[in-house]
Amino acid sequence: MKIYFNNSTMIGILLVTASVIYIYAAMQLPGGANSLGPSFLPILVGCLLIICSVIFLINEQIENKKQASSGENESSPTIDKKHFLLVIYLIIYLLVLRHFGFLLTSIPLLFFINRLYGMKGMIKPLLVAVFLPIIIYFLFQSLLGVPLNLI
Amino acid sequence: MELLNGFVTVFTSGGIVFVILGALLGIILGALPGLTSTMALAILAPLTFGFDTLLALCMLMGVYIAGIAGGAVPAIALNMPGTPASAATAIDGYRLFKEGNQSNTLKMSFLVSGLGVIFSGIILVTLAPLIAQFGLLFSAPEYFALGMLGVTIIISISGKYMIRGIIAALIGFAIAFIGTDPTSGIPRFTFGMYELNGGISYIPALIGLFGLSEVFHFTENTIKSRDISQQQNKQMNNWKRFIPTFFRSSTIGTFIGSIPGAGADIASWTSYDVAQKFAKKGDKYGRGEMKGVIASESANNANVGGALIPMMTFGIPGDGQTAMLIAFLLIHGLDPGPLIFENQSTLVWAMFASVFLASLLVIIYGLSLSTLIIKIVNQPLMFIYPAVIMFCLVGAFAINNNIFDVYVMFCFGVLGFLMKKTEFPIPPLMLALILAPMIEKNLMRGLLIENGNFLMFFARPLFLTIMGIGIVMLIITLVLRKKTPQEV
Repeated sequence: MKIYFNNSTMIGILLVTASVIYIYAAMQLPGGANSLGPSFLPILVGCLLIICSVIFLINEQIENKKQASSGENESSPTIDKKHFLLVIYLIIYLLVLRHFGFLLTSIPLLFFINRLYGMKGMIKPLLVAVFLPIIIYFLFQSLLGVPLNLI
Repeated sequence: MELLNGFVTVFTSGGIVFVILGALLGIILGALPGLTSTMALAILAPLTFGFDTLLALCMLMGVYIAGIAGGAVPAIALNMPGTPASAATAIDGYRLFKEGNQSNTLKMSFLVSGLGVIFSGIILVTLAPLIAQFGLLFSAPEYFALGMLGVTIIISISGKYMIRGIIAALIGFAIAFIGTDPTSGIPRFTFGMYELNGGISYIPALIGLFGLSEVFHFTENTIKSRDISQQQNKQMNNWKRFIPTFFRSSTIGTFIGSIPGAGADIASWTSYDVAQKFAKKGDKYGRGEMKGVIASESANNANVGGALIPMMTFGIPGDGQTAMLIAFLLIHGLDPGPLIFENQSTLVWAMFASVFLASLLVIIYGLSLSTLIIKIVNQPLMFIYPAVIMFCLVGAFAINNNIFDVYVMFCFGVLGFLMKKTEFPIPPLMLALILAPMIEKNLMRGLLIENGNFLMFFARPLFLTIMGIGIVMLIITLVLRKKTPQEV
């Protein structure tokens, strides 16, 4: 039997592996041996997840076989550079947020995001990057009482 | 009488100002292509966290009702339906719009949207208190059955990706078990992080799943040029011929809305299908027929009142929007279920009054601001999305003034985006996150009542009735969904 290996297969294998780890972690909980202890529902959900993931894998294999015999190619999902950049910007932002505060970190973040979204030049992205956090800061801190200064 | 008191409460407390504001923001965000009413709720609800509960409710209802009505604008003006529900509107709406009936088509859409909600609202205020009385007879096993009824919704909202939907829901359950076990008090999957002892907070997760993930999605789907030329309006003649379509579609919308899991898309497509079956000579469905827009939009919006019935009486979310609404109501101290009509009746009736007021505002805004709304829709989205990112970040923080919630929101944003890319539906995960505590708590309580014997649940007539209703509803939904187009 030919096994078709693509993104869906990877997802299926990942799901089965994650489910096994989840069940193992649930069994380590105190009172894990007790049938109605804190691990009862997590183990049940973990087992169902394994069953569904296996069904998913089988379905995908059948689907791939059909596509291969009809000569169609599966369009695999792709993640482009912009996504990575946006995620990296946000990770850096979240890491430095506590050290520099909301305003000082949000302005460069927004500037880079504006550029990423295709805002041309320097002035327009910079203006949006400066004024938007200030407006949001005023709205939440002064009008709604959310202590953004405590970040 | 209680509804009248609700109106008095909304007017005397200043809640009307928040309905007006919420409806305006909802209609604008709902109208922007790429933004949905669910996303509008996700990014605007954090604004209400600092408000008094009543004022927050007024604003949330404004955003919710107007956001759905606004969703018709990109379908009609740009042929870009953001949801399967508004796809039916686009069929005739976009053709009418292109033919030059721009303002009239939008005005009619807003008019029937508002009237549709009012129609279903009347049914809501009539039936909900009666159903809630019935709900007072429930104890833990019946609430567990209601939770399981919610699980059947997962199957019906997964559409053509049923196994993926079930997997998404199981992932949601697995995540929901993080935190302290409600029965034993033992921390589960917290890995020594005290922030996780209280579990994963719904709201940052929802903001991430529906707000931030959309921003990631937009990064690759940048909407470029949109050209909407202004043309002369044409007067609609013989508007009386629209009345039967409106009443028929609103009835269908309310009924389907009250079936948990059926949702606005089924309501809208079923209503469109029925309208076609009642077509008269000269009707040109599919080629620019106003009755097509009326059928789709009145059912889509009448769905709101229907969906609020199981939500308010049993705490069962019928779709993604009501699930989100429940999460926000919980944050404001309102626990939807039969007892809410006894314990928090002032707030409930004020909320129902807000539904009617928001619908009236949809009509007023729609009739007076349709030209302005078209202009707003035509603004480049590159200005909107940076603001959405900021609202997501600040909104997640605003719930508990805790930076950890922002990290949670970010993680769920990435998860939501990856799910979209791999075609795993997000609503089942969200529903599972919300239903898991209800199911677990009531299963354990029920087992205590029945001395640990689960089979004894089946000896309870109410438990069996609810399970039976769940199965019937699942069958109805699956049959209707089979006839409903799944692609936007």
